[in-house]
Amino acid sequence: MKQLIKLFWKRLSSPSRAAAGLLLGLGFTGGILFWGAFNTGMEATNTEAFCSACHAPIVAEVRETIHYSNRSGVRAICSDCHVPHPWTDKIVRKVQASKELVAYAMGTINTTEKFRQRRGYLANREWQRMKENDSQECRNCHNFDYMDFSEQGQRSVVQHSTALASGEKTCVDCHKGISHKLPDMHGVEGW
Amino acid sequence: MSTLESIFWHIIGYAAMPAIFVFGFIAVAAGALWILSLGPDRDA
Repeated sequence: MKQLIKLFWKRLSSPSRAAAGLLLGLGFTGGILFWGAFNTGMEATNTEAFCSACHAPIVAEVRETIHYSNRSGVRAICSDCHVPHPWTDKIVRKVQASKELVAYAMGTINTTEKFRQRRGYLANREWQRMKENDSQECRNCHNFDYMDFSEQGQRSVVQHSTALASGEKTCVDCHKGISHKLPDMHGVEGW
Repeated sequence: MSTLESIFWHIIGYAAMPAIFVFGFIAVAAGALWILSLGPDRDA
C-alpha cells in the first residue's frame, strides 16, 4: 500500500509529457463525472423507494394527506420534509443517517409490530430535530412573510401573528401529524 | 438528540465535506493517471 502511494505521488509530482490542455480536460471531465456520480448517489437516497425500504407504513400514510395529493398538483415527498435542502446541512444529515444503516442491519423496525412500538420514539426525535432547526424544512416552502392572514382561520391568525411571529414557537410545535398518523401522544408537550 | 450527540454528528458531518473533495481529487487523479499511462506518457 505504501509503495502504491509512493508511486502515485511520484506520478503526480512528475511532469507529464501530455499537453496542458489535455491534463486540464482530464481533470475537468473527471471532476464533473465524480461530482455527478456523487450527487446522483446522494439523490438516490432521497427517493420514496429508498425511504420505503424501512419506513414503508409511513410512506403509505403520506399518500392520503394534503402534502402528497392535492388540487394544486404540488407534492412533497419524504426528503422534502426530512432532509435539509442546503448542501452543508444535507451532508451533516446524511452522515448522521449512516447510524440508521446499523438499525437497518439489526432489523430494528423490520416488522410492522417493531415499527409500531418504536414509532413514538422516532416521531419525537424528528420533532425535536425540527424544533432545533426552527422547522427549516417547512420553511423551504412555507414563508411566514408571504402568509396572507386574511385567508387563514381565526385560530391560525392568532397563533401565527403572536407565537410564530415572535419566534417563541416554530411550525412543528403545533403542526404535528400533518403527514403521518400521530403515535401515542402521552407526555408530548401541548397534547 | 442530546447536545453531545449533536456535536458529534456535526463534527463528523463537517469533516466529511473536505474528505469528499480530497477523495474526489484522488479518484480523479488516479483515473487521469491511468488514462495517461495508456499513451506515450507511460514513462513519465
